[in-house]
Amino acid sequence: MRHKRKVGFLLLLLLLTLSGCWNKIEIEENAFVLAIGVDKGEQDLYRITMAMARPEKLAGKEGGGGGGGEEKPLVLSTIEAPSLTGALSMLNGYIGRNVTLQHAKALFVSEELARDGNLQFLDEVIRYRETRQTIFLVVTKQDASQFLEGMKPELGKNPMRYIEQLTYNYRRTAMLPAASQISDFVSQVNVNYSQPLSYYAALVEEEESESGGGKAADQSEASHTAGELPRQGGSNVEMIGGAAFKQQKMVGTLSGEEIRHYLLLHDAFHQAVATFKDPKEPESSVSVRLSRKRPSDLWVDVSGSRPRLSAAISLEGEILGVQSGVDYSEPEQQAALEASIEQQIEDSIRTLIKRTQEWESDIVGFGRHAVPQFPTVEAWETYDWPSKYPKAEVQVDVRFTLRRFGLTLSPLQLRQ
Amino acid sequence: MYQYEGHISRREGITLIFAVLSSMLFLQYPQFLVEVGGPAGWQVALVMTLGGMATLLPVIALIRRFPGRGLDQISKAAAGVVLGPLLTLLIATWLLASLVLSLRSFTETFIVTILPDTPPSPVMVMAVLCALYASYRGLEAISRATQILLPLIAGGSLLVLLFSLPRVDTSLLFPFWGHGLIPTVTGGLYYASMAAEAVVILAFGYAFRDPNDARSSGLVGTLLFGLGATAVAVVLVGVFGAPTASQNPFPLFNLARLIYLGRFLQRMESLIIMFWVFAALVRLAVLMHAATVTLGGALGLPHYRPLLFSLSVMIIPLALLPEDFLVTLRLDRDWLRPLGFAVLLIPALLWLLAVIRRKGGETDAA
Amino acid sequence: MGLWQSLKRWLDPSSTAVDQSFSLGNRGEKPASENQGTEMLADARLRTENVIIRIDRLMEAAPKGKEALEKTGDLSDDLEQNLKRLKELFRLPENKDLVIREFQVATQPPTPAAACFMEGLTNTGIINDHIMQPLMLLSHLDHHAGAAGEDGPSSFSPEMVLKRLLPGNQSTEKYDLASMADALLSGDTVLLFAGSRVAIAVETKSPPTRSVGKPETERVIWGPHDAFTEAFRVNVALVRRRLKDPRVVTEVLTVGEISKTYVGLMYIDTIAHPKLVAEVKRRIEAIKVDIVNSSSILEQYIEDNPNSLLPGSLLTERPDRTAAYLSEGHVAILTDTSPNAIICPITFWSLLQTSEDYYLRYPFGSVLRWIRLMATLIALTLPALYIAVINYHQEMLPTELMLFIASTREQVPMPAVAELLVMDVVFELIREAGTRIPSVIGPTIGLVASLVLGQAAVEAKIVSPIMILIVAITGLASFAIPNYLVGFGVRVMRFFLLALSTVLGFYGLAAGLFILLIMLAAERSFGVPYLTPVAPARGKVRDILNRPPLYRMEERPGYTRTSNQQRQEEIVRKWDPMAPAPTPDENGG
Repeated sequence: MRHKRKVGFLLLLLLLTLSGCWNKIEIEENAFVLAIGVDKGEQDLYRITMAMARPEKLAGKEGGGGGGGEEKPLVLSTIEAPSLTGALSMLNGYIGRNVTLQHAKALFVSEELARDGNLQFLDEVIRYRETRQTIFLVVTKQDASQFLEGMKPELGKNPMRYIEQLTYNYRRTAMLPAASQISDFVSQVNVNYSQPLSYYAALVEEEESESGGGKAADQSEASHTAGELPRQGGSNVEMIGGAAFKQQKMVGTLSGEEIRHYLLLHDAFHQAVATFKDPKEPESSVSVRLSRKRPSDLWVDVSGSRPRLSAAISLEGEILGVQSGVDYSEPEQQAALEASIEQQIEDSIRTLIKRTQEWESDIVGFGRHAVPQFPTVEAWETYDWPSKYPKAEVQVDVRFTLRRFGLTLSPLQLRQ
Repeated sequence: MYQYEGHISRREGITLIFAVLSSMLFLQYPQFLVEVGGPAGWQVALVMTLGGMATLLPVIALIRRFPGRGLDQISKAAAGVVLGPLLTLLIATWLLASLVLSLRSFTETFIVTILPDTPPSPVMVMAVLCALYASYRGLEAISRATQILLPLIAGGSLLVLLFSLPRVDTSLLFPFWGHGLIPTVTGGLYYASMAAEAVVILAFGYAFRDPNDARSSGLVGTLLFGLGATAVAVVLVGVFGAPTASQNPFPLFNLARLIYLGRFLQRMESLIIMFWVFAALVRLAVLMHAATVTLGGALGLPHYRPLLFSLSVMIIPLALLPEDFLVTLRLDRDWLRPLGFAVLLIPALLWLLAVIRRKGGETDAA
Repeated sequence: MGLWQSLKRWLDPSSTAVDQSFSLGNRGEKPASENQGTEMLADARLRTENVIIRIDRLMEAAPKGKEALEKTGDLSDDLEQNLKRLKELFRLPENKDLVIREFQVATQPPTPAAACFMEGLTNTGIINDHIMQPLMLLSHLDHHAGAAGEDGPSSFSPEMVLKRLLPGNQSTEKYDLASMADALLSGDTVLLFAGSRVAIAVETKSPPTRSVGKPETERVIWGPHDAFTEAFRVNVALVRRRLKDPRVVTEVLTVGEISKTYVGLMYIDTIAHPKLVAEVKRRIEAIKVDIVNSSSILEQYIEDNPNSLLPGSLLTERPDRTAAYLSEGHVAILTDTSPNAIICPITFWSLLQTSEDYYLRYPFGSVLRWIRLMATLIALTLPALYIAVINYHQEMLPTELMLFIASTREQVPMPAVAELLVMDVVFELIREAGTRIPSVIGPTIGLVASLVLGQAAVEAKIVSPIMILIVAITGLASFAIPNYLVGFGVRVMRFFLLALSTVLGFYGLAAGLFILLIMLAAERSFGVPYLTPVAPARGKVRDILNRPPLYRMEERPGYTRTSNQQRQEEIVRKWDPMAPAPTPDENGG
């Protein structure tokens, strides 16, 4: 009797294994998509490019690859499909492994598609289990498929890691938005207190030597957007500036300098190197390293027919270079320089805000500071901030203090 | 006569109640809170806590009046030989319904979040087996295992909340009053029956050596749960914003998914899922034990163990009855919660009857 | 014809016929039980004879009072008859172990006597010098100044021998054959005298035993290195050296019909709970088996749940640990012929502790314990965790690591689970082989096996390098578990968790851990729940993983329910290092 019971129990156990393990998949049976590119489609709704990893190229031992050393580390495939998961199932038709989006790091959307406002596939990104909401959203100037194809990092093997590392630079240069993950995008779009801003990248052909056409008069080096840097050499991806959205539709691009001001207002600014016009010698420039002194203060006054936006920003800085020969270490000169820099920054900020008002998109997020003044959600919605924002009055107040002057006090006097 | 065995102390009681209630936070309940209250979801949580604690008072009074006695003994003593078992049966049915819906909700949650292609049956069978084994070993085993697991569960969830703090945008918590004070308060009171799932304490009121322990267990456990719910609601709204959060059926899971502190500290949600599986299993074990003991008492069975096996076989098909996930959610929100209020009336009724008919030992002042 | 002869051996069936070879099986002979039956009958006859004689004498002695009753036995007055019955009982002359030396006591007239002892178990020096010498040579000195109250110069009695002639420090009187046999078998020398129904047993025990050595499984670096040996008295002495208090009690019981092993129950009288002692005694006395030849066997007879995976009592070979547990209110069971002491009751946390934690300073003791807990968890869950992550939750890995694992696994033909099981089997083989290799080449083989096998397996692309790492770390972690028996339990649990996580990923792993936890939580060890004091939180939860400084450990752990809770004064360090005591000169001393 006991024997029968044991046998019966064992059979039951075996039954469990017979049914199979449904989710079990060996790690090498997967094809991991590292980046997704979405373009406007001709035959179907979208043209989707998936960049899949070749493990032994990306992470295998050195020299273990043997022959075929010219293979690229990523396998690219472009499909016309109505949705991301549609593309996945089509891909499974000719890629021998199970294509999975678990390790996708970035979503590249072409500018054309973004300006059309055709970003409905984002619902899939949120809903589908494999995609994570921490992936980056990058708007590319060219088609995303072109971008992914041409992307070639010079240092390192993994292109996606390269892109990721580019995004870390915002702390030092303040030329990129602080974060542009799908989660921010989605939560902002849903709530409507502010509008989203995403990364903007462009691919540059190596043979062209840009002369920064049309911007020669403007000596601020950060006023370029991606794709327009006057340079040669280095890898062919440029990621500077951002793409502003109004809800789902892209309405404009911001240059690196404008992003810097955006970050100042957004209170996400850490430090940056900025070049200002020398107040005494308008032809020369002064390089300053700006850093944040106190958190920026924004407030909104919603009483009255037009909202009044006010911003108080305080910065401090260190002079990195003076080209005009003027000695700014003297107190009056220092005060003049500080005032001039404050004025320049204020002007730029006002210009930025005006631009966003033209686009009718509150990317800076004044709406977030207006909300606490409303008691209930209904009151806020009756007020209808997005329509009131373009009419708002702006007032900006910047305080700048020079702290340090570098290794020498008086500048280099180059006698003719 | 029923064989009641096992004793638990005050601390174990608190951990049991807290574990049973707070495992609900891993399901869809924070979503309900935000749905009702908008950005003021945390206020709803506070109202719910206070309401829950208030509705627990008759239950506690009942336990204190009949120390050391099981539910069926209490109801027989208070309400008579006919009405008593009937009332016990009602409570047992509610506990069973709660168990079935919890099982289905947890199964759906785990399938959607970590085991996408798995059919529900193996997941349910595994959960029921664990709950069966735990209930078989007895109340003391469950409470001791909970004592060890609870720091893990609480710690894991706290870590999730902590790591989500950098993402919190405090402006998303405004407007301060959400949709207004009235919807907040009514919503909170409606969901107070969520907190009153602590009625499960009725099923093991006999195990407290000192009946005052029952009072502190129930109240402190509910209070802790309320604090946890408030914290979760705050972080949830702060990270996602009210509209997204109210549509988010797996709030803590999504929060865990968003953790991205630099290159290394990311992608950790699967590990934290393990702690939530513990919480789910504890809740199922306690509910199963409570339902079985109560049902056995209502039916007049001498011991609860044989009933355990039949019940486990029964609840799996019952749990598979709702057609889809949304039906489960709606059943839970629109049916189980109001019935919870009805169930809370029963201990109040029993207590009244006991006072009127002057049954029961201790009549010391509360 | 020689060739034919040798060939015939091969062709002749009778040379390999089974019928003619030796076999214990039943071939139509009388069943063995019948033969044995005759022997058992003879045995029974002996015993019945003894019983009948005894009953007769009891009836005689009954009216004479209690002392007379105690002294009745089944020996006869006749020395030859006693010796004959003794030889029959011990199966002399086939059995050469019992030596019977007949001599004469030098009384006037000389009294025939015999000394019987088991060779090998006794110290023959003592027999010669202290038993036979005084009896044969010196007994005439006391001839007249004999026992008081006896009449006549030729009086002789065993009491006189006992009191005046026999310088043996433990000598007792025996009245019947069975107790004589017991005494002989434990190593005493039994003296039989003609004309007397009383035999004297003198203690001359000297069993072969090894000297006190180092512990085999519980080595510490910083602490005493003595360990129990197989001799009962030595073990008790080792513990008594550390607890010099009259309240330390050793109750001795004998267990086993044939082995008659001494089992000593040690406890401290006002500290251990009397119910606990009574319960342990009850369980030991209920054992009615043939042999109990080791403390592990004894433990299996008295434990609460034989089906549990973890031990219900602690087996230790260290006397200092035993002494510490005794002072906390536990009971220690020492078994003869076994170098382990059983400590009961025990909790799960004690299985993770070693005595070294107390000898080191307290932060390091705590750190060691945490490391051990981590090692236990790793040994339990690492393979299951790995399989769950690799097969189900690849999204958990950082992308770089995941790509590396995928690239190394692409060439391996087996699924990850099969790989893991293969490596596990190999590891277990290495482990088993390692315990049986002669110690000279032992370490070399271990090194060769691990390095070469691992490397070769990776080169042959049978396993991936990560798998080797996982299995090696798991193995190392399981060696870090201080208790040998827990290691086995952990091994079984590990396979259970691996099976579950193979089928259901993290969910299965969590469910398996839950089941194991319930299993642990429901266990009891001699009435104490297994996870005390964490799980039923009784009293302060301390000294589990974090070891407080010694001067703070003022109370005994509550779960043993000792009568005497306080073991230290409230303030142990009454002096302040910053304020030195005044020098004697100043005190005008």
